[in-house]
Amino acid sequence: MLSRVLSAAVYGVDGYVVTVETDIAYGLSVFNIVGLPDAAVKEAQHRVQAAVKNSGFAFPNRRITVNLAPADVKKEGPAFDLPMAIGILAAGGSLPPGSLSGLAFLGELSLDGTLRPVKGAVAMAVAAAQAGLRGLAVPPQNATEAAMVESLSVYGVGSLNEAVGLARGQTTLTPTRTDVAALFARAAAQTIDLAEVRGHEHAKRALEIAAAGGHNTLMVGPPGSGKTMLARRLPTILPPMTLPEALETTRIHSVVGALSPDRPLVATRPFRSPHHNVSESGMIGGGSSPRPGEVSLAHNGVLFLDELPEFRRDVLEALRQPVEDGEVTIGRARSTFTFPARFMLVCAMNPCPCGFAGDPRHACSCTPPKIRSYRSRISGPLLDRIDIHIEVPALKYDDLSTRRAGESSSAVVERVTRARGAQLARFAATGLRDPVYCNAQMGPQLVRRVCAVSAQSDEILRAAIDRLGLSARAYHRVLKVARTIADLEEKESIQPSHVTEAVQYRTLDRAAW
Amino acid sequence: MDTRPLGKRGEDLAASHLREQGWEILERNYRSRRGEIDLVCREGDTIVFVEVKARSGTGFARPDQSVTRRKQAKLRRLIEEYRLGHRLEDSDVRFDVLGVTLARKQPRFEHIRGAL
Repeated sequence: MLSRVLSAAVYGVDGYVVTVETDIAYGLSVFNIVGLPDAAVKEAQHRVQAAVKNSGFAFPNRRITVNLAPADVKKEGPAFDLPMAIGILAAGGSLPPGSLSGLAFLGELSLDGTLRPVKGAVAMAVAAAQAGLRGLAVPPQNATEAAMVESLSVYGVGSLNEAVGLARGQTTLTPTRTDVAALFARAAAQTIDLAEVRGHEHAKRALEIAAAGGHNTLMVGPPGSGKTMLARRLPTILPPMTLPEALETTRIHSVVGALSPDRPLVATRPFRSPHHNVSESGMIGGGSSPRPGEVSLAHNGVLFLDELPEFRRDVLEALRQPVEDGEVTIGRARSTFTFPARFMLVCAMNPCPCGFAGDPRHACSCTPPKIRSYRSRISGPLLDRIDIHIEVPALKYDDLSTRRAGESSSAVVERVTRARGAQLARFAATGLRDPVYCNAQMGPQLVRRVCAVSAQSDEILRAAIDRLGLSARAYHRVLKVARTIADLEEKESIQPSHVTEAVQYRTLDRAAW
Repeated sequence: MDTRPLGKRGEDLAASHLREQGWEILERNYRSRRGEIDLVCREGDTIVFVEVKARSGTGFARPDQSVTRRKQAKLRRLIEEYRLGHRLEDSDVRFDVLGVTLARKQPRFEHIRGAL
């Protein structure tokens, strides 16, 4: 009268195995669920009861107790419907003993016994494989993503009856196979290209440098000048995702239910563009048992903040930790959650509220105090973390109508990948404890070691700092960017021309700001 | 209106109806501090507690609807007590509501199984 069925759940972005214990005892019919269930888990009793009956089984009119072990972790969501139904059938003797060993079940039941997809199938499949299970039964919509975990046989079951058939060994289901390498190759194709952006040669060059060094970037320009179009194409000039990176990002997207059967793998760098009214928990992750936010969904990709000054101040302040550490920690009374959040930050803003300050063809209607207050909405500490400032002017007609297409993303990405390779080799040679993946992540000590400049370059820097009023922090930013420019040219030492160009990307440090 | 004669007649009719179905009547009007149960029966291996709802006419609420939530909780405790007192922990138990409508010459029965 007791049965044990394995299942899994998600805690933060990690999965863990849950044992669903079901006991059926004599007594008036009661269905109790223990093990910190939330409302959706408690409601499972009604779905399970209807689904069992409508699948042609008798539902035992007895005292049913279901325990979700480990009992001290909060259980959420409807994914336990299927294991509970299986558990009741097993405890009632409808399934032969031993038929469930090493097999885990996941899925939300509808009242007629068919299964609905669940969130976080990848993370749960990983947990099941780590626990040494032999198989995992999931709704068919989740089968492709879960089957990316190769050491596990994943079965897509469409209904409770199919799941029972699988446990009894009656139906011969073939495990779903996902050819991760082929899927990865197919899904890695880009649909947009840098060549589609006409003109803006200066901005494209700056973006290439940003991509090559992983530098956070701010674009300033009037509305409609192409800031968003440029930013959208940044992922296409970043080095292609490696498979481990893709799997990491996929797992996060799986937890929020952002995957679909035709797109089970996030193989291109994500581009997240949250609206400026996003809440703090929407941005960095949150909820009583936290789920990942935009910064984590942008992991290994690009987080684009359009209309930067319109974002709420607390939201922008909350960005500081992920930008700095590549991960975000969310504290809750019971525990803390750490989600990966390594992304390139790209921001865009108008130069003033009306958008036309500095535009030769439109008159700006903003008063200087208005402009000042607009610009001051971006906090200094955030601006400090942005290495490259780009001015994106409105295009002249000649630039727009030009027949000459710009360079394609594939040509740029080749240079970017080479520059990144040079950086990785250099960092490996320094034998650092903390891994540094690109120039933007270098600390002050490392900058001093690998960004040595000649006396001539030093002179240029001194002049720039004096004339433009650059801060000490800006000085380090300039050196890092100069390092990246040299890497793009495959030069080991930083030349004066590299420094001059790098200084150009500090326009917002000038007195006008 | 005095309902006792009606209730009593309903219970008598219910008991004979159940006996006809092959049930064994173990107790009638089982009472304790916690309340009372109209009939305690045995159907095969299952102990069935029956609440009889006698009605003199049709057109009113269904018989099982007059068992309120509070009464359900009370009945559950009562049934648990009975099981423990009579060493019935290892048998199936059920709670049924049997509606008896006395409007016409021939009484009508409405049997709701597993009402709790």
